[in-house]
Amino acid sequence: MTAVSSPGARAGPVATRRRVPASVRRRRRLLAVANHSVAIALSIMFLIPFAFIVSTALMTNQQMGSLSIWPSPFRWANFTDLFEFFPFWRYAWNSLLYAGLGTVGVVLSGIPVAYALSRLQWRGRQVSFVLLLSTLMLPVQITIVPLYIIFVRLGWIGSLKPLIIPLFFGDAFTIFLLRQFFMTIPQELSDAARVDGANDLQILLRVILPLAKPAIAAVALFNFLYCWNDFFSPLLYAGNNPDTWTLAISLQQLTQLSRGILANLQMAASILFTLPVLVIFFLAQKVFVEGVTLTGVKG
Amino acid sequence: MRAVETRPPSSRRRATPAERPPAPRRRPGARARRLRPLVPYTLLAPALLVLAAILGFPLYRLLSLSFQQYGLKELFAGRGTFIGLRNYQDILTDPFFWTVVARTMVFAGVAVGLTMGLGTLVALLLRNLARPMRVLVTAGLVAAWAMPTLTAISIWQWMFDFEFGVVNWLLTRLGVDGFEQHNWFDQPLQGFTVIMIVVVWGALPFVAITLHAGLTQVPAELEEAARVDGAGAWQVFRHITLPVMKPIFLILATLSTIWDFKVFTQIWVLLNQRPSREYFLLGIWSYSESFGVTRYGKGAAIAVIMVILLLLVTSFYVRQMLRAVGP
Repeated sequence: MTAVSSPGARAGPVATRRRVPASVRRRRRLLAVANHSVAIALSIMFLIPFAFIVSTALMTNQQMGSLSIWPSPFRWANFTDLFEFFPFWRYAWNSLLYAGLGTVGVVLSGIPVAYALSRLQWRGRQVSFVLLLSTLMLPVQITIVPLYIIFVRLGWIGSLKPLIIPLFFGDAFTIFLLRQFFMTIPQELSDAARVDGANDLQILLRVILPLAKPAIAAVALFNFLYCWNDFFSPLLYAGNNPDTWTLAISLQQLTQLSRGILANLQMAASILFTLPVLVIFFLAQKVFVEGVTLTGVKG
Repeated sequence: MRAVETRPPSSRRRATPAERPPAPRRRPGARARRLRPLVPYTLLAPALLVLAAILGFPLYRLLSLSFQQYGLKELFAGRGTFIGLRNYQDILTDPFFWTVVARTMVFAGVAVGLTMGLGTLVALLLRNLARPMRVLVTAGLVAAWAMPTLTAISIWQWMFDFEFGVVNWLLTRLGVDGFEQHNWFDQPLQGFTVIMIVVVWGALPFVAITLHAGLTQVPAELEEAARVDGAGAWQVFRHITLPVMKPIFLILATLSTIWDFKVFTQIWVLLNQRPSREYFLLGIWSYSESFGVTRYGKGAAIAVIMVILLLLVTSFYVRQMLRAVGP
C-alpha cells in the first residue's frame, strides 16, 4: 500500500483537492462532534461499573458502610492486604494453567475437526455440524450433572483435569468458529494443492493453516478470555480443593464469605483479575483484527 | 498489510464447481485412493470420541431422563420409571409453558436485536473516531468484556438496589418522582428492563469489537464511490457494507441468539437466586424444575424442548451456513 506513493502523489493533494464548500465543512464538523459525544456517552456507560469497582477498591472498611461514592482517604493498602488475605499468586497460576493449556488444547483439537467439517466430503458431515451446534444450545446447568458423574468415576474431581483435558479433544464453540473461518478460504487453493499432489494433511498444514493464522489467534483470544472468566465449572470440579482454585472462584468465595463486608478487597481483586486480560487484548489487537478480517475473504 | 498479501487473487469471486477447470488430476496410487474416504474420519476420531463422551453422554442422559418419572425418591433408588411422553404431555398442556416460551422468545428477540443493532452502530462509530477516542471506547468495551461476570452483575445489582442504589438516588436528584426506595424488580416489565440492560451490556463488547474488526475489510473505495454516486448512509450500509460483512453477521447472530435464549446467570444473580415465576425463562424454569422441586425428568424434558425450539429459531441461519458449503 505504501508503494502507491509515487512522486506524482506529492503534488496530488494540492492539485486535485477542490475547495470544500463551507456548508459541507460545517456538516462534517457537526457530524464529528455528534460522533464524539455519542462515543463519550458510550465510554461512560461502559466504564461506570468499572469506576465503581475502582472507587470501592480504594475505600476503608468504615467508609463502605456510609453512602458516599468517592473514597476518602484513598486506601491503597487494600491491594497489598489482598495478598495476605489469600494466596493470590497460586490462584493466578491455576487460572493461567486453565486458560493457557485450555487454549492450546482447544486450538490443537479444533483445527482438524473444523477442517473435516469445512473442506472434506463425507457422509454425515452436515448432521455432525448441526449436532455440534445443538450442543452449544444445551443449557449448561442441566448437562453438568451427568458430566460430573463421569469425572467422579475417573477420579478427577478436586483437580484441574476435568477443566483442561476435555479441551484437548474438541470444544464446540471453537470448532464452530474455525469451521466458519475455514469456509471462507477459497476452495481453489486446496484444489490447486491437490492437483500438485498434496494430501489432506499437507493441504491443512501448508495451505489452510498459514491463511488461518490470524483467525486462530482470534479464536485463541476468545477462548482464553472465556476460561479466565469461567467460574461455574472450576467451582463445580475444583471447588472442594482450595489448592486448585482459580482466581474466578476465589473472587466468588470472597463475595460469599464477606457478604459486603470485604467488598473493597473483592473489588481490588476484581481489578487485578481484569488487568491481565486488558493487557493481552491490546497486545493481541492487531492479530485479532486480521483474524476477523479473514472471515470475509470469500466476500 | 499482511492480510492483503495473503489474500488470494480470486478472492472476489465465488467459486462454483462449474468454473473450476477440469484439472488434469494426477492419478493417486491405489492405496491412497482406497484410504481417501477414511481421512475425514481419522481427523475426526479423537474429537468424536470425546465429544461423544462430553457432549453426547449428557445429551443421551438428558433425553432418557426426559422420558422418565425421576424425582428425589428415584434419585435415592438410583433409577427412574419409564413413562413415555408423559413429561412432554404435561409441559405442552400447561398454559404456563406457553407463557414462558413467549416470554423467552420476546426477551431473546429484543436482546439479539439490541445487541446486533447497537453493536453495529458502535462498530461504525469506532471507525469514525479519532484514535485517542477510539482507544478509550475500546478500553471501556474490553473492560466490560473482561470483568468477572459475578463482579459485574453485583455492581449492577447494587446500582439498581432499592435502598442504596445509585440509579434511584440519581433519578430522585433529577426530580423524577416516585423513585425513592423504588424496587425495580417489583414489576416484571421493569425488572426485565434491568435484566436486559445487564445482558446487552455484557454481550455488546464481543459483538461490537468483532464487527469493528470486520469492518476494516470493507473496501473504502467502494463505499466512497457509492457515496459519490449519491447513495445515503443507509444505502451504503445496506448495499456495500452488509454484503461484505455477511459471514461475520451470520456467526454473531447465531451465537447471540443461542446465548440470549439461554440467559441464566444474570436473572439468577440479580434476583438473589430466588426468581419468582414471573421471571422464569426456559433456562431458569428447567433448572428450578430439576433442582428446585427435584422433578429431574420434567426439567430434562424442558431442556430438550428448549434445544428443539432453538434449532427452529436458528434454522434460518443454520441453513445458510450449510448452504455456504464450498464444493
